[in-house]
Amino acid sequence: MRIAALTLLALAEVALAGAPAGPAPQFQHFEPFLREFRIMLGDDPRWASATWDDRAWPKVRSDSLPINSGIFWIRFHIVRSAPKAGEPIGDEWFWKNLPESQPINALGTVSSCSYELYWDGRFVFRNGVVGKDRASEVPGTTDCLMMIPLELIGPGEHVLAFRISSNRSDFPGAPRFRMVFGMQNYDWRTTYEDRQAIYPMIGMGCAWVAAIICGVFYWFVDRRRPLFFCSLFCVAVGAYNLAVAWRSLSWLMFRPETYDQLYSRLMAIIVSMALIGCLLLLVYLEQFAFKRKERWLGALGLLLAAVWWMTGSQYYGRVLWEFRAALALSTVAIGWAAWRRHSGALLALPAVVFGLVTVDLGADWRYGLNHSFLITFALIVLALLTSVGLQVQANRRKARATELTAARMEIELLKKNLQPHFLLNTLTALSEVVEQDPPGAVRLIGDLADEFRSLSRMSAEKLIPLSQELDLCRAHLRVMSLRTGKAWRLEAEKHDPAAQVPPALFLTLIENGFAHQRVAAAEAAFVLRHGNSADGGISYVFLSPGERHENPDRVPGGTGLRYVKARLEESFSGRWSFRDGPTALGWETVIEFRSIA
Amino acid sequence: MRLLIVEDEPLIAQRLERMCREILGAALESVAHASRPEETSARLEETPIDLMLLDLNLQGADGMQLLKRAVAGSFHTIIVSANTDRALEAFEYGVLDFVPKPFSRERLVQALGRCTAAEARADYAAKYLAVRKYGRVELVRVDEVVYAKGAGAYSELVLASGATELHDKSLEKLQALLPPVFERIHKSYLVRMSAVKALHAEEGSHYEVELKGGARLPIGRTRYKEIREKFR
Repeated sequence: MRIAALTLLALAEVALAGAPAGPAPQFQHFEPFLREFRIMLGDDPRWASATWDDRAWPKVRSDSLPINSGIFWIRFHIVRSAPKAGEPIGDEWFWKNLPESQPINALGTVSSCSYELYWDGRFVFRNGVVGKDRASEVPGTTDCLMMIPLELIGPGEHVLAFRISSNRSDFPGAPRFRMVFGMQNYDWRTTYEDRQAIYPMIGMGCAWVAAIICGVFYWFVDRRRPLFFCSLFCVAVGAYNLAVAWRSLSWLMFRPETYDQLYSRLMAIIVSMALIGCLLLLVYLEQFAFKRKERWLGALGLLLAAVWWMTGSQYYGRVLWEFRAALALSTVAIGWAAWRRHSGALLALPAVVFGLVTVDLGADWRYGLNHSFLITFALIVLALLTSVGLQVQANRRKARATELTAARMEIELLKKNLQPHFLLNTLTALSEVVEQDPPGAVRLIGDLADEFRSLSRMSAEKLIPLSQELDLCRAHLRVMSLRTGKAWRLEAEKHDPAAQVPPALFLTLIENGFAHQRVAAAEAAFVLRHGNSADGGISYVFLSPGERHENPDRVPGGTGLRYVKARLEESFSGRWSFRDGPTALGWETVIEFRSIA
Repeated sequence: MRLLIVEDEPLIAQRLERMCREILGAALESVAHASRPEETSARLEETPIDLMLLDLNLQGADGMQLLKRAVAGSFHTIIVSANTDRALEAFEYGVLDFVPKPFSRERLVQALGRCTAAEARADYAAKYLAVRKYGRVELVRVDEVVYAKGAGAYSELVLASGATELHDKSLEKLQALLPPVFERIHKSYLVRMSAVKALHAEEGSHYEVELKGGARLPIGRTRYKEIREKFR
């Protein structure tokens, strides 16, 4: 198992080392590279003209358009060749080479601004309302798709002039924004955006169903903290998927998301992913019973802070590395648990390793992580539920075994009650006493009845008060005194009568004393001392008087000791100790146990 | 009769002694007590006995080990115990009777009667006979015994292999323990009937059995008729 855990850990390391260093933004269906435009701050309607000479305007890259700079214009010239088979179509980055069934008829933009578009000097489209300041501007949508009249997009050179303002951008510390373009087919693009919402929506649905399942499992089946945190983890995954899908949902179903809302949504995605990471780690810390959880969570916090600092304005890159950081730390935690042979660790490990190896940014970065995120999530939840299910099954088996043990213990106690050898010898002695000393016979019958009454009263109990146990022992000693002709007694020093002990615990030690100890004197005492153990539990020291008689035919750990140990295990599972040995005064037995409370 | 009571509970020992005195009367020569195995061995070395009343559980010690040593002796053993589940095992080692506790006077009369009656047999025959050899006790399977020859207070066991073992019990006591397939053909011989090949009547009212191994053993005149009937 340890070798398997190490191998998986090594694979995870290799996978992590081989993963891309950072998100490479992919502007699928838009221009893939940065472009240069001519820019002019200010506002002049003449700048819309196709013939305006803009050669003196400064150049600007498409990712360096100014924020909060009032109104400005950008202009650029593009060429469209006459489409011929096998020949370029001019500025290919702009003119997508679509099949004839999907003719170019629309311009798509992704930007953080409001703008008016003039195509060859003709006003074509308005995205929001351009304004000189925050108050006068009505924000445009982040994603925008506009039909372009077909007569404007024929072969030849075209001039695109944008009148822009970006006064409502909330991106902190970002003086610039990026604008991307692409000529597309309107129907194709609409269908594409529609499809993009499917996977996050599936992810959201699955996550919230899983959250409900885990919650129900936690509430009604087994109150395990990993299940509770897994339920929260699923809620967070659902929230992440909703935030991702919102871009497309708002496009298709509601009012499209305006650019001033983009930062808030990105923050929601980033925060939900940080939450996902923390809850994921917490699930494993709880599942594998880590003691210093705060240290692990602190380490994750440091990693997330480092990711935040290193990813800068790459918001989706931040999301990706947040998840990777949580997966990496979870892999270490699970690997450690597997090393410690914790059940369920080898089930959990493949899920996080799979996530480390495969999760990356999606082909369209606007929709966050790729589909492996959904698969990883499913594997994580499946592994956890399987592991918890197996543990619940094992616990139920253990509970059934405990019930059987309790039943067996009750039978053992009843057997003591009806122990043929003890009973028949007592009856034989009684026969003699009846004939020789009738009053003594009455006393013997009374003592015997006391003992049987006590035994039957406690037979179904797991624990009884010490006073009850002492009464039972003393009744037994009265019977044995008459049978053996010696005066036996039990001295209990400094005891708490209300202390709880398993039934017939000390009676069994007394019976063992009669079986294995020899006392020459006419009277002797068993001694019980009550104290506290080193770990704060209860300690009993029991002394059987006399000299040990070792019977060579005796099997070590006979039925008496088995009964005592089984009773201790039944009531104080794993929290008891038993040791015995000879002393100058007899055979000493030390029993220590701790209650759950 | 010399009696040894091996019992660790004084009240029960007292009851046994009292009843034995009542039942045996003047026939009871002596009664000794022991409550532990080693004490029993010491008593046996001190004084020869005719009967041992033995409890199988002596202060936690297993009386069966003591029993295996005791049945090698010349005396009979009667078990008086609450461990009735070990009765058959006790019989296999050659005890005369098993008296379960608590016992009545009548049951003790019956057990002591087996000891005193000439032709009494145990309820269950022994499967083993204990013999002392080189200072230790060894068990001989009764199945291996072809015949036993009386040698005063002892018996000589002749086995199927031809080997002989000396047993401390007299032929009478041995007969009480062995299964009914053993017949007393002569005051000095106890023979397994399935080992008999033929009966021979010689001159002068002298009768013999011929065993399958070739050995010929005398038959008592008074027993010939009975043996002949059984041989048919």
